Amino acid sequence: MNLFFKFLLTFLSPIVFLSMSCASTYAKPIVADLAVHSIDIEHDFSGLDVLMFGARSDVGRIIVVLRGPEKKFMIRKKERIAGVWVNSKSAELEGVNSFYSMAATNPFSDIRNDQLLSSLGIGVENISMNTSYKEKDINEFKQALIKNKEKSGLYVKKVGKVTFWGETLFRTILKFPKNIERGWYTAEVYLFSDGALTAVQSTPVLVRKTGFEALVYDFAYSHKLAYGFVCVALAVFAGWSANVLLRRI
Amino acid sequence: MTIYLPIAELPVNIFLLLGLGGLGGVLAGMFGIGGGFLVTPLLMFIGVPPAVAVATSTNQIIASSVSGFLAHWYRNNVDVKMGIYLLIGGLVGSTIGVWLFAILKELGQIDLVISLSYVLFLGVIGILMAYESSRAIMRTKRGITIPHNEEKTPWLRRINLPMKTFFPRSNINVSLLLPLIVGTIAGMMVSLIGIGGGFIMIPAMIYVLGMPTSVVVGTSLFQIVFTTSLVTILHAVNTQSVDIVLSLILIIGGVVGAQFGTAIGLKLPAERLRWLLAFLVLAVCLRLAMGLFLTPSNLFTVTVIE
Repeated sequence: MNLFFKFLLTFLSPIVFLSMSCASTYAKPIVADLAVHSIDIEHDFSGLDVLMFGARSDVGRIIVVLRGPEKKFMIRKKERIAGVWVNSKSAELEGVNSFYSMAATNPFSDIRNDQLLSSLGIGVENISMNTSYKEKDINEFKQALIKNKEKSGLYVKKVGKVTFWGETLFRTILKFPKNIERGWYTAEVYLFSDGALTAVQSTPVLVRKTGFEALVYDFAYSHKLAYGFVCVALAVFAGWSANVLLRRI
Repeated sequence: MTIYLPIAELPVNIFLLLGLGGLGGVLAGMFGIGGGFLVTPLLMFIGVPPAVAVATSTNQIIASSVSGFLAHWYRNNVDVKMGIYLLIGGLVGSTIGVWLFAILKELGQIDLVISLSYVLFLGVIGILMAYESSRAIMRTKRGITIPHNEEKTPWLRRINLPMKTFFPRSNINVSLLLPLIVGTIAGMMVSLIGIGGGFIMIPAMIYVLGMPTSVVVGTSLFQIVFTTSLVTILHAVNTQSVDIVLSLILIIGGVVGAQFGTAIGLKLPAERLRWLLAFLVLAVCLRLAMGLFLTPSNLFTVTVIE
């Protein structure tokens, strides 16, 4: 995969770049694509850098956002009861991106339309989270989830760089860390001028797990009963062969 | 060499796991007990979620019990009739246990219940063993030998329970209710904390049922093989927390470890060994208790639901 990626980066991307920019200049204000549209994770996967490239026909700042598939999370808070730390309050947060990172033509802070950014879900603190939890301390739970995600490197606070080649062509590197979850990711490109959104484009990326571990996981979750029987059969066989071996020695 | 555990969703060094399984095997070989009661908490210490640790060690116990059971079976040391009644109790108990396990997992309290049960269980066992073995060491130092207690009818058997049945292999006449109750309690321990339950069953078979010592281990292994098999399947269906990769590595480590354990057990004096084990059990107990009582660095836990 890495070799293939390097090949793409060195030889192909300039060609794609040129052809794209010619075709797109009069169609949309912004056009972009990724060097790779699907990522296979095997057990030795150590993360992948994917090149995103594009062209704009309008002036303005570009923000690229990479989002992971939406998941439902349970956040539990521990409380001390009779000296022991026990899970007490809990909140479910739904429709939350399991991964988030972004890149921008610097500086990102120049776009001074907080309301717009928050409604678009741009910026780690603006990631949308739905909940039926009604109490005041809901923010505590949301912050706990963000902190947890940042710690595991799945929410990246540091804004990456979008660099230009001339006035129209731009590129950035989307980093997929080694612990990403499977599912559909979307790479969104926003074009802002004068604090207003002028164009959006989003490209899907499929992250798949392959190899033996993924096979076992899928089997355990999709054929639960059969998986249970296989586990028992393997253990019985292992115990029996140990007995046979030991009687020989 | 790192291996990725598919269900625990955790990369772990394979030699660390082989070592852990080996340690369980050494204990099993030295003391003739399953090492599950130590391997499960140690798995939790290296980051395996408690639910996965419990369900997986249940699967691992099947292997060690099958191998031990066969050895006793060839020597005709199994009371099958008694084993079947213990098993009926075991199936009931373990089904209740798995059901409780799923409810507690849903409530987010399963980790707490597992840790608390282990602290209690290891604390009691450790203290009893330390007390008993240090007394034995003192006695051998002073050169006193104490004659074995004269056979007394166990107090529970003096209560007149209904459904008295004769068990030919053990040559005893006891109420059916006793093996059913003992089996049920052992079965619940299998599904809730991932140990074989021999800890509970063997003393109960000797002191409560009054079975001859020669058939006790084989008969309890007979029961354990089937209850752990059922519990593995129930965990696989209800909680998806059986990690077959983890289990197989532990089994391999355990088989090798048991050989060393038997060799060591033959060389060291028994009471010293028990004293050593008591110390180990209390250390694990203390470490688990610390986790319960010390303020955690992060009060929040995050789990993905779907």
